[in-house]
Amino acid sequence: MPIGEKFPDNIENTANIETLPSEKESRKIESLPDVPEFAEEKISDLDDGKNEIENSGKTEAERIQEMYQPNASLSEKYRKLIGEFAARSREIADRAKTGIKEAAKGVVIGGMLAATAGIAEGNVLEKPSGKKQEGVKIEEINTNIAVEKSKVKIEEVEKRENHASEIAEKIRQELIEHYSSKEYLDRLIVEFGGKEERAKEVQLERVENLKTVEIDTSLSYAEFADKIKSEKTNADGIKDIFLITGVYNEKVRVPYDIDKKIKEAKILINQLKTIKGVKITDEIKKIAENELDMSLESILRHEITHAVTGEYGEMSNSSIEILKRSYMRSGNKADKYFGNPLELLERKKAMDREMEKLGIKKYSEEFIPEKHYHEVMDAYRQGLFSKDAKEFISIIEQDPNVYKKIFDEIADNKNIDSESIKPA
Amino acid sequence: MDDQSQKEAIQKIEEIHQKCKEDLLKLQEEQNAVIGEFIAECEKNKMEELRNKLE
Repeated sequence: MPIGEKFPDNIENTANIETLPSEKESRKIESLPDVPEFAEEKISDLDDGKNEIENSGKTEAERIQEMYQPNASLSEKYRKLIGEFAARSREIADRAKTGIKEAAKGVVIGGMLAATAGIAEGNVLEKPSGKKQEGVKIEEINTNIAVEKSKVKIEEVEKRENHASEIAEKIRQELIEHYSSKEYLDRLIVEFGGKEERAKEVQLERVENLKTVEIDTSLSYAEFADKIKSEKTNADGIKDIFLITGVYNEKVRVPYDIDKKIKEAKILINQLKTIKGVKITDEIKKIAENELDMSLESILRHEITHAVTGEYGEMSNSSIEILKRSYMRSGNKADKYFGNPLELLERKKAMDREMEKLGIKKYSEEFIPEKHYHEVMDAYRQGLFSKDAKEFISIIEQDPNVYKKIFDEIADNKNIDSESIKPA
Repeated sequence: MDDQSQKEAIQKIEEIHQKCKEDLLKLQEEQNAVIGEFIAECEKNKMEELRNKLE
């Protein structure tokens, strides 16, 4: 019976009633998942997988087209190819869904999913006796399924968001602890020429910045990238095509599904590497080769740390000079980002944390070139540092005395007579 | 319905689901390669355009 056709009035609704397990049966199977529900979850998951291919293919191709030829529409060749992928994904998912429905139907005839399967295929439901029965309120069941499906989707998104926001809050607490510490205050006192009161004020201000900074992990990567693009916060060529991992601009923003996007980007970069004529920067290659351990956690940590000194973080001229002099220019456009003293400072903070964590040097300890520099390099070769710390080592002059100057003379630096620099 | 048939159904559903996920992943990789080619083509066109401008 086609969906939407009116049912004869005398047909009773039996689909769910007939097969409700008795109390005894319910107890017996309580350790196993309910089959229709289990099948629904799997179908919903496959729908997500299929939708992901359809949506990502279309949006990615359109985004690239927009970047290279903003006024032209997507070429016929790629429109066709992307369309074919969408059709193939539907075919694969639909075939599997039919198989799942069949498997579920064989077990629980009156379950909601079995009822849907029967309706979708234009079949009638069969009672255990073998007598054919057409008694399902289709609209009601379909509505229920739609409601259940949206609930599952909303729950999934909420779960992912909560996961990201839990990590963010954990990092916030860790950083508050560090910036409230006596060791940090001692370093600030040195930085402020022994002025303890001033150092205390700065410490309070930074801890307050951390406590109050808004951290937004509510957007998916697609929503986030569109938003950032429209704000023109980050628009530097190929980097924009692949990945914008997070932003600090008044508030911290990191998409909750960034781990998934990184995984996809790695696949894409590896494909790109095999294509002649495509130039991929070393930074991008590092992502695919797992040299940069980018993750939701490391990205959140980086962006939240920006908030310590605030959006328009001010640095003393001496700190700016030290960092600028220590930076090894690559000669390409990455210099604009990595050469920014505020970005260098973020990576220096990561080094501070990780040297302490790895037992190389305590934050309050003086940097001893003959000892600490070699220990840092050993840890680097063993791959023990995070992305930010690795970047610090690869862009800062390889000179133990330069390290000493950076780690002994810069805390996080802030000075009334400072020059203002905005983070990228 | 007994536990055994319930278990079998769940296992079958799990197998179909797993196989489909693998197929979809392969498809996603294929699609990524096509998008990669598209980027390469755009890059090539851009370079040609620049070269023409310079000439």
